[in-house]
Amino acid sequence: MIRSSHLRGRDCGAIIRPIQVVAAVFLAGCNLFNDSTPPEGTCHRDQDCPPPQRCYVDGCGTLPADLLAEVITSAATGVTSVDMPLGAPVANMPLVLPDRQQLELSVRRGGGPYPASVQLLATGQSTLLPGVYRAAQTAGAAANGIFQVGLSTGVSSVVVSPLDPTVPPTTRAGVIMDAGVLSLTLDLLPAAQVQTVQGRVLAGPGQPEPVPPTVQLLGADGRSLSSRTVADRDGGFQLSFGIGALDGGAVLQVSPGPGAIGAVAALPISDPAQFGIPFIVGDSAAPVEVSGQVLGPDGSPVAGASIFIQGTVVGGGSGNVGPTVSGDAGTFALSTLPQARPGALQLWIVPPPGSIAGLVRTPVDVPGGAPVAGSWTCPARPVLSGGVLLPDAGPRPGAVVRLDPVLPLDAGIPLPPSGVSGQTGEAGTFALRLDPGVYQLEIQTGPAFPVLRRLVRVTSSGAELPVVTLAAGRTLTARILRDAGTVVPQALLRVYRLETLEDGTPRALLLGEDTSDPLGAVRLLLPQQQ
Amino acid sequence: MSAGRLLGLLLGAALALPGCLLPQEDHIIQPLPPLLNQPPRILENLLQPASRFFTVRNGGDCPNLTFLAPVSDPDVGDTLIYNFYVDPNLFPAFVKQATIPNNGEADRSDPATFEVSFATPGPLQQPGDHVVEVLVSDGALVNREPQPKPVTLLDGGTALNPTYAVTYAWTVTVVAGPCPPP
Repeated sequence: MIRSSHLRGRDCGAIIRPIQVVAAVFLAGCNLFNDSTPPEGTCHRDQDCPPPQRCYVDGCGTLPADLLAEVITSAATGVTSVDMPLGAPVANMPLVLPDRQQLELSVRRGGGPYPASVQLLATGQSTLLPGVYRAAQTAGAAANGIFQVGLSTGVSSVVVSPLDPTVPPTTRAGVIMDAGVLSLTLDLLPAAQVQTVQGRVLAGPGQPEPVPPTVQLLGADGRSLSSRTVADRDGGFQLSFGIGALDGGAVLQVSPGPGAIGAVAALPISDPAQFGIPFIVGDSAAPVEVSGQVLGPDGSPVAGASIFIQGTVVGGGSGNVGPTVSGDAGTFALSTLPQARPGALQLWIVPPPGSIAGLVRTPVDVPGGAPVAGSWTCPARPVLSGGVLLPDAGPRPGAVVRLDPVLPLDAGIPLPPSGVSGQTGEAGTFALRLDPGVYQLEIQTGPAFPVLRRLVRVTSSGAELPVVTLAAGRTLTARILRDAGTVVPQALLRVYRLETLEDGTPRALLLGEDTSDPLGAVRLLLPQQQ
Repeated sequence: MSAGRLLGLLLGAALALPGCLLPQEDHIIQPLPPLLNQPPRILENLLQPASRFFTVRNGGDCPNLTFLAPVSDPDVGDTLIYNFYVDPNLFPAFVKQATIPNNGEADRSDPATFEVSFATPGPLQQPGDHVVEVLVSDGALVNREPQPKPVTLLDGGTALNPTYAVTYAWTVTVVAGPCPPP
C-alpha cells in the first residue's frame, strides 16, 4: 500500500516510457524463440474449419451427428435421467434440463385421496436409448395422497402397493414420461370391488412347508393382483384382490421361505372357489445332495467356480439353488430337490474370471432318494486377441482392455454372467479368455485418445480382432443447465450411439461419460466420425 | 535517482540481456515433498439405483439391473480400482473388478458400473435379501485392505503413504416372478 501511494504521488511518465522500450526489446528477443505458426487444426470458430468439420476445443474435426445423451442428476425426489438427441455436436453445447423431472402421482381410493402408507415402484426403459433400463422406488404416506417421485424419461410401469394387505395393488403400464413433470392419478380399488379369500398352501397332503412360504396372486402378464403375504406355520393365508381379477387368467405364486430349499410354484387360478381346497406345491421330497469335482480342460481342479442347479423339480415347481463355490480341489456340494423328470435339472458351473476353464451348462440327473456324485470337465475358454497401435504405428502397451457381456451368442448358448479385463503388453497386444457371447469391448488408452468401445462377437473357437490404430478424438464441451438458467454441477452426462445387433435389434452403445464441474461444464473426448 | 539515470540503466540492461528471461536451471528448483494421499469419494447423490433399499423380480425376462457409482478423488492423478461384491458376508470374492482412469479432474469421467442379468444364474437370482457392495480404492487391495505405497522423502528416507478404500452397499430384495411389461 505504501509503495502504491508513493507511485501515485509522482509523474510516472518518465519511468514508464523507458520500461515500454525495454519491454519491447525483451519481447522481441522472446519472439525469436517462438514458432509463430499456430498448431494444425487450431480454430476459433466453425468457419475456420474446412466443411463439414467443426471447431472444437482441440481443433477442427468431425463428431458423429447422431449422438444421443443421457443426463443423470440428483434432486430431493430422486436420481433421474433425461435423454435427448444431441444433433450435430458443436462446441459449448447447452444441454437444458427441466427445472423438475418428476412424476406427480395422486393415489386415490373411493373418490378421495388415499392417506395410508404405500410403496411406489416404477420400472421402465428409455425410449431413446434401447437397452437402458431404470427404476425408481419410494415409500410413505401423504394425507392428500400426492407423491413426488423422480422419474426418468422413457416408458415405465408404475405400481402402487398399499401396506394394508386388504387393499390390492394397482399398476399402470405404458406411462410415457417426457422431460418435465407428469401428473398421474392411480385409483386403488374401493372395498366394494375387492374380494378377500382364505386359502392354504402345503408341501404335500397334510404337510405344511417347513418354512412358511410367500404367496401372491399375479396376472397372466406378471402384474401384481394382490399383496405379497407370508403364510402361517400351517400354510394358511389370506389374499385380497379385485372382483373379476381372475377373468384374464391368474396364477398363485408360491415362493419358498427364507433359507428353505423349495420350489417356486405358479398355480393357475381361474375361480375363487379354488381357494377352498389346499394348494399342493409337491415339493415335500427330501433334498438331495449333489457333490463332485470341477476340472479344467487340462484336468486340473477349478477353484472358485460358482455352481448352481436350476430347473423343474418334483411337484412341477421351479427350483433354483446355489451358488456354492468350489474349493481349492475343485470340489463342491449343493442340495436340491429331486428332478421332476430326467433332464429337468441343469447344472451350471461358472468358473471365475481369468480361468482357462469355460462355462458349463449341462443336464444333471437327480432322481431323489440318494446323493449324486460326479466329476465335470469344463471346456477351454476361447481366447479373444487383438492389438492396439499408436497413430505412428508403434505399439501401445498398458492400455486397459475390458469386455462386458451384452448378449448370448445364440439361443442355445447362455449369456456369460461376467466380463473380464486386462492390459496390453509391451507389443501392444492382448489376449483374454472369456466365454462365447457378444461383448462390449472397451479400450482405455489414457487422456490423449478417446476410449474405444465397440461390440465384438466371441465364438467357441475364439476371435482375433483387427489391430486397432488409435486416432485423435475431439472434445465435446457442453454446459448443463436448468430451464431457469441455473447451471447443474455434478450431473453425469453419458453419450451414446445406436448400434444394430446381429439379430437386428438396436442397442445404445456408450461412447463416453463425464461429470459436470461446479459451473455445469462437461468435457467428453469422443471418437471422430469415421 | 533521476529519470535519465534510470533510463540509462534500463537500456544498458536491455543491451546486456537481449532476449527473454531464461528459466532457472533445474537443479536450483527444490523438489516438492510427496503429497499425502487423499481418499476417493463415492458421489452418493448420483448413485443408481438411487435408493439404498429396493425390490426387483428375478424372472429370466426381467431387464438387466445396473449399478452405477460415480466417484471422485482429489488426487487427480490417481487411478482408481473398484470391486463389486454380492453378499460379501457369504461370498468374499468380488464379482467384478475394473479400473477408473484419471481424467485430470477430481470427478472422474467413468463411474463404477456393474450389470446383473437375470437370464443367467447368479447370486441375485435367489429370492430374498441380498447386499451388493461397491468398494473403490486408490491403491492396491489385499483382502479388501488398501495397501500403503512406499514413497521416498527429500532426505532420501522412505515413508508409507496411506491409500484408502470407500464403500457403498445396496440392499436388494429379490422377489420371484416375471416382470410385467413397462
